[in-house]
Amino acid sequence: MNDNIIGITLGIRFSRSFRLLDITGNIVDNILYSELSPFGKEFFPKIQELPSREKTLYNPSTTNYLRINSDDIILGISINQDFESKYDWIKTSILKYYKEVLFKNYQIINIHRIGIIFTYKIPKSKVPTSSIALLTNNSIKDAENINISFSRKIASSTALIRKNVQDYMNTIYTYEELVESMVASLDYQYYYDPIIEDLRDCAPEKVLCDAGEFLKSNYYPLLEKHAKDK
Amino acid sequence: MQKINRNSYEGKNWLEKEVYRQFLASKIKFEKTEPDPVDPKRTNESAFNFEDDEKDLPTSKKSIRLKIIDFFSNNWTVTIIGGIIVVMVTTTAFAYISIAVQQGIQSKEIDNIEANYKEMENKNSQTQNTINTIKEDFFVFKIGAQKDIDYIKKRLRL
Repeated sequence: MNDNIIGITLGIRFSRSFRLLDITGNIVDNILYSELSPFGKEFFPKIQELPSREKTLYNPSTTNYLRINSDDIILGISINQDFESKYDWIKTSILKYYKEVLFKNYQIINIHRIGIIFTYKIPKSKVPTSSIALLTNNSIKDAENINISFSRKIASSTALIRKNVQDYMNTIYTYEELVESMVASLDYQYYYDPIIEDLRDCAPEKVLCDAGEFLKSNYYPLLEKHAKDK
Repeated sequence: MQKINRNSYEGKNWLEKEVYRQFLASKIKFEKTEPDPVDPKRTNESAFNFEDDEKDLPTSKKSIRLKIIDFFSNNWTVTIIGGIIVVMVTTTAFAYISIAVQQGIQSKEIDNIEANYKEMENKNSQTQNTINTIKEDFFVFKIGAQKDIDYIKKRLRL
């Protein structure tokens, strides 16, 4: 299943900060030119700023990108048969840079959640079309451009034990139909309740490890079943 | 903002566990990690929606371990000078204590020597008394013996 993965997206949601929009230039400089940065200007040769003042660093040839806005920092990494090495790179180098430089030096605080999306390109199947037919009582049997999303909450082991903790995981499953294939994605999110002031207290590496375990034990069987049913 | 200690080891009671279970079973509006895909060509993004501002949420404050690490990394000059002062004060205190202890030990040894000297003086005095007694006894014995010898000599002449 690792061969079908086409992208990983890591998003960290924090308390809305308008101050951050004023210092995104400093942050971009650090990402592009700092010796501590795992990226560099070759990694993100282009930059875009939207009217909302969101800044997006991106690479048109690899389609890797990094978005910085008042609520999130979202990193998108494309995968080409190198899932394990890229995932390890995110878990070690990128999270270390986030924790020790980006979030610490620029005072990005109050973390709400860490989310990781695994995106797969899978063969087209009749299951979504038949699901729509079932949903519409067979009145629509040839639906096109199907896009299905659903979510499921999971208890956090910490929240089951500790009095002041109400953390939980949310998993969002998405199936989107393309012309010749389908894109399936698993969005694994860890919500902190209460929110945590400092990213270094969030144990983000553990979240990514748990997400990887969940992917292999819960999501791969779904994709394998889908491949058999196509 | 309400501050909550996440690291407390206090456990949930059954009621709190039930509330948590009910929360997990409840329906909430999900929000994707990346709500809208990135589009490098997009230029018509609208400005912020201020109505969607977040509520005042409970927060878990920074852990003590990180506070200490950050303090030392942000105040390294103070840390170095403070460290030197701490080392100097500690060394002085240890030296003072060590000298005081050494002085105590030496005073004790001097006291012991003095006590031994007095004891030896006493013993010497006792020995002198014994010798004097022996001398007196020997003198009495000598006089007695001389008398006996004189008596025996007289008897022999008769």
